[in-house]
Amino acid sequence: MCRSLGKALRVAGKPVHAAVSGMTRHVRSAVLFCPVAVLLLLSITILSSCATVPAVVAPEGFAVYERQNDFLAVSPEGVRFKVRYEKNEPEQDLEFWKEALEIHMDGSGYEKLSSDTFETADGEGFYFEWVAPVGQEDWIYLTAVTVHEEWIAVAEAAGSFPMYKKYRERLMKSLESISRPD
Amino acid sequence: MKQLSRIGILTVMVILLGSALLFGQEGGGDKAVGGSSGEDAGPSEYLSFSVQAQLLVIDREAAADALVEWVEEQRGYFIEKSLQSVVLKVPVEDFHKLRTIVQREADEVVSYDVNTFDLRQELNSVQAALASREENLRRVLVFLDNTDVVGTLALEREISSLMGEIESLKGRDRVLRNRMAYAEAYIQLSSMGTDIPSKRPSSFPWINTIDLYSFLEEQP
Repeated sequence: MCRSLGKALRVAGKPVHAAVSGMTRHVRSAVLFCPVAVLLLLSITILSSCATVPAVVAPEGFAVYERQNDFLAVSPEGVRFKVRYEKNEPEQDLEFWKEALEIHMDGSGYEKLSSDTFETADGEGFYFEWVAPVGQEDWIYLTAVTVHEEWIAVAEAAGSFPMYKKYRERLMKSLESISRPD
Repeated sequence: MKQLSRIGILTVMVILLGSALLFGQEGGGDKAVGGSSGEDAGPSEYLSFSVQAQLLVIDREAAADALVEWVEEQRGYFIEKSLQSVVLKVPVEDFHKLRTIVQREADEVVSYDVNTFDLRQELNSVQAALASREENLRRVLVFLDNTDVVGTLALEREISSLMGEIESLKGRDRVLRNRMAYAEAYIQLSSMGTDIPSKRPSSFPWINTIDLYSFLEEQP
């Protein structure tokens, strides 16, 4: 039991001894010997290491899907917009991730249409717009990132060129609404 | 009898060739670059321009028609026109207008790359080879006047070979002069001609998840 709990806590990223090291001696012994407190500590630790569904304002006219780990909105014409949080591992700044993503997308064969930065309430982000064929159509694929210390918000949007163009401004507004995890 | 007819054919060939050489000397050849010969042309006249552009357009047919109409107004022409791409031959003096026209017709310009080639070396090489073959032919024709029937037959093969080389070099010369007179613009109206992006592994797990096609396959 203890071994599995310890394993769970390690998986969550914080070993037991590290989590309780900052407590007073009395509290520490109470925590270590009270199973309820241990479970409570476990829950708090696990919850603190899980990102919530990103709080984003959906683009106007998009239907929002209830999902557990990410925010997804889709327009009536099928333009998709998704935002999720990922761990900032290895912890790097915005410039690093911008370069890494650009190299990856270039190398994969996407044609870059544009690139720029945007402002959110919690700081700056960047986006790229890529062109790729889907069936007989040209599609635009937007990839955007904002960095919030140990988390990064990753946004994607895609639509056929005419439809993307129609919703582009609304998508940009939604990007600006991306906030840090609670 | 057979030999006499061969000599007759050869004589006709020689007369035709002689007149062609004379015509060439008098300046009747192709002079696409401002009416001057390659040797007289200024440095910029040896340049050949080409453009590779990729556009995004909502109405591809209308864009292709507009680009072709424009190039024809400039006394250029098109080599290919489809819903995927157009290939235009733009008179070099109007080449600088092309970017503006492309931007006007496109909803988005993904890329516009200009390449410039200096054809001076190749043109000079073709002209030198041509002059050399023509000189050889003249010499062979001089020998032909003073040879017997057996000698004539031996020279026949040499004359045919030289004539073939001269025609081929003249063709190459015409192509080079056309390239100097007209810029070639390859304009893609869609990304469909390009390779479909493929998944490429990254050291960073979240970057590996960034892919348009996986994103579209995801169930809401």
